[in-house]
Amino acid sequence: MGTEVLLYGYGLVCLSMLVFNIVYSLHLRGDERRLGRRTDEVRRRVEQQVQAMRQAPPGTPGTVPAGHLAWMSRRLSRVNFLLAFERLLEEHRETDDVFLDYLRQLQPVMLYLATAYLRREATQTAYFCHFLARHPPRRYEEMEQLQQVLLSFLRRKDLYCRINAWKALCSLGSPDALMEALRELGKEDGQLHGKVITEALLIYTGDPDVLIGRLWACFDRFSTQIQRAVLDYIRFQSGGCRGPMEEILRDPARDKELRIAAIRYFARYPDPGVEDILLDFIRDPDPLRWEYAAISATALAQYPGQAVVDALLQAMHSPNWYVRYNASASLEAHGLSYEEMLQVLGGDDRYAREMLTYRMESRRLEKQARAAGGARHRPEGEEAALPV
Amino acid sequence: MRDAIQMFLLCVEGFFILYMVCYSSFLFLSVTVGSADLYAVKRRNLLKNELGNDYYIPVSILVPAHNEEVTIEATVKSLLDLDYKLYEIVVVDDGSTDDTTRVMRETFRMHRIDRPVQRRIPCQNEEEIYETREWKVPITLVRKQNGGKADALNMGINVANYPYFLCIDADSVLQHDSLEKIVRPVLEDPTVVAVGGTVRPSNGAEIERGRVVRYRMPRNLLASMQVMEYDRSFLASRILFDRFNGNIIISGAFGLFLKSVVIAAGGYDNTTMGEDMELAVKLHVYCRENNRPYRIRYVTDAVCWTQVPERLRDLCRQRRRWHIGLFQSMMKYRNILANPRYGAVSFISYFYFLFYELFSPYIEVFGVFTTLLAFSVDLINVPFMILFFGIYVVYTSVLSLTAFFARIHTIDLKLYPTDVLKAVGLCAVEVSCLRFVMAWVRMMALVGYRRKKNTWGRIERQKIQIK
Repeated sequence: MGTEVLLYGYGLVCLSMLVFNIVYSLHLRGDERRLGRRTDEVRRRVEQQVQAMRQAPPGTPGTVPAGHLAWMSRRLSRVNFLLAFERLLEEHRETDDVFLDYLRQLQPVMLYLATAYLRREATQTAYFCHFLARHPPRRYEEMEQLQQVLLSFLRRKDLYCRINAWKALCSLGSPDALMEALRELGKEDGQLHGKVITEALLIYTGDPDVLIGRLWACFDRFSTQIQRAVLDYIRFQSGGCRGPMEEILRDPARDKELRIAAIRYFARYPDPGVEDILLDFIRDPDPLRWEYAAISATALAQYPGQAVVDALLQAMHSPNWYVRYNASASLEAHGLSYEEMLQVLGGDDRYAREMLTYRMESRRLEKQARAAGGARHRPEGEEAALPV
Repeated sequence: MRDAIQMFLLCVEGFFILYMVCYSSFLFLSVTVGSADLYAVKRRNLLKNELGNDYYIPVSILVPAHNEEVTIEATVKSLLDLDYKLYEIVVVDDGSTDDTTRVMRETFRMHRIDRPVQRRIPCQNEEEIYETREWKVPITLVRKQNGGKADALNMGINVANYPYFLCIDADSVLQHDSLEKIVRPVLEDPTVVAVGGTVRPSNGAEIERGRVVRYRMPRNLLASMQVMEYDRSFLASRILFDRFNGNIIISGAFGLFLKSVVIAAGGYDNTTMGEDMELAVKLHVYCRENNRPYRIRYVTDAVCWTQVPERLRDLCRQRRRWHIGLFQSMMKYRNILANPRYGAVSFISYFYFLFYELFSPYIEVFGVFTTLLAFSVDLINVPFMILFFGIYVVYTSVLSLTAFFARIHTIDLKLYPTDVLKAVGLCAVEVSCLRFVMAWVRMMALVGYRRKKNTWGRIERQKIQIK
């Protein structure tokens, strides 16, 4: 009897879910219509306000009345209206001065919303952060408090809350807040993927040179994963960091990933001063350190000289596939044809020969593809080294 | 004698009540958790709780093929339509006796090339390698000696250039956004070593450049019943297993893996028929034995469309192969059973697959025999038996329908009244008829299976309806 009751109970719950799904499905059909209605409502209010500001006497800036700010605070603290407001802002990309002024005066509302969404479920908080990242405030008085609230969002468990808060902080453009955020993100339980950190740093709206200066100053206080993401950001952003990069490159106590990131930096911004260590890496016979050799083989494509060519030719005998592959591509960048390389290497090393033959044929295919208008993914002269 | 039979039947009754209660509870949990999770995912996406489309992790797509001349062109073309930038396509022709290689070579204007293969996982030798750079991404075709699907995948791993690989079946089509969706868990959590995507039957779907333009329940009733079954599996139980990192199956039709970990674990095992399950279990074992933090994830919104058999004979063959694969994987990793080191993987996932997947056909058929025995000695209450069976059918049908309706929470599927009617009509048939046929097929699967190991399962292929 107990079993039957249990089954009836389960069945009843499932039946309610079924009904919920059906009702929800019907509700979803009207979703777009409801969002449109809310957008219209917000648009009407905002346009009235902007219109009133336009009619202000010349020379006197129109002000947004407290009543409107209160209305917006109330409405936008409901996530569905925030969605509608975002839609409105997306429509208003071609903004005029009065509309921008209106948005500037609306900033206290954002601060109010930040505290309102602090108490909401994580998905709503994350959406608010997304909104801020897309439409950062334009007035600096509220920034400090807003950043403190966003930093507290970073401490929440929800992943997207942290990701969107991080993006919002980057779009606000205050280096101090970012340093604190990076320390927070480096904590064991709050780590984000390096790509997410780097990509958000790239949308930083302040002066990148100032940011890079602060990043170097705080570098040793970050976790290794954050340090790696920071080095990647610097590689994409600036060629003026050779000194500290070289220090990392030459420091054997540094983490492998950081030193490899430094090699990649010097592949993008060649510096004769580090050629010796790149050559040391590629000549290193230790099979456990093949990653240094493989990435150095790619970097050395940018370093002219007979010593480099000799080291690359030597690397063609490496037992590691990736080292051979990247060395052959770099040798080609040095102007050696594969036929010449084959002659220099002789025919004794089967692995080197096979790799060169493969590279020759790949090159032929790429040329054919370009002639046929294909290979859209890779422009002429740009040879992709294999990722390792 | 009668007393002995009575005692025996009493024990059997106790066992079956316990068995059914556990199974009902599992189904109940999986359907409710699955439905709630899908609802939460939909809401998260609506509120932009997702990574944008700017993060590209390099992925090699591996397509093992054996006698796939009918479908391979459509499959590779669909792969070229993906909304992703950084990937390559590697097709491995595992000694086809049809024109798979010729179709690939001519359709995609591929050229033979002497490419050295870095053999990090043992596999049969390559015979020819073709490449082309004329398309959006590089395409490689490896023609090798026949060695089975696992061997073909191992060759694909050896040839793959990128740190992650995605394996799909040669008769499958990826949805245009499936690649960016399946890599998201990797960006969300750096410890993720494998991600399984959702597989949906493509019978009845009309797909245009990777986008589903029309999706109805298939005309074929057998295929329709499999749609219900796939919904129950992919939109319910896998979501539940994902909650505690307990998925021990990543469908061979659509799974993403971190290459370095798969190589370290030894790649696909070509001695088993269920290489997809074997690899997923192997990754659990490898990571736990080496104390490596890891996650095996499942994502609902990364979708792969695959053909399901429309003939009972093909379906029986497929299920037989699956059951043998399940048996081999479960036996190979039997040390997981009741092993505290494996936590929920052992005490929930392994137990579930052991008792409710591997042993279930035997238990169900045993149940039928004991019912007959009880009937013959007049120890059964027939009206109650019919009532109980009725409750079982209604309950399981409600669960199936709940999973079916959960599709409204997925982005791209809509409900049509005729499909709903079809689902309502077929769920009871699936539960009360097809299930028992499949139980018999699975029970007989292990008879003589050793003779047929390492062979490719064949089902009747049809041209995939993509435009």
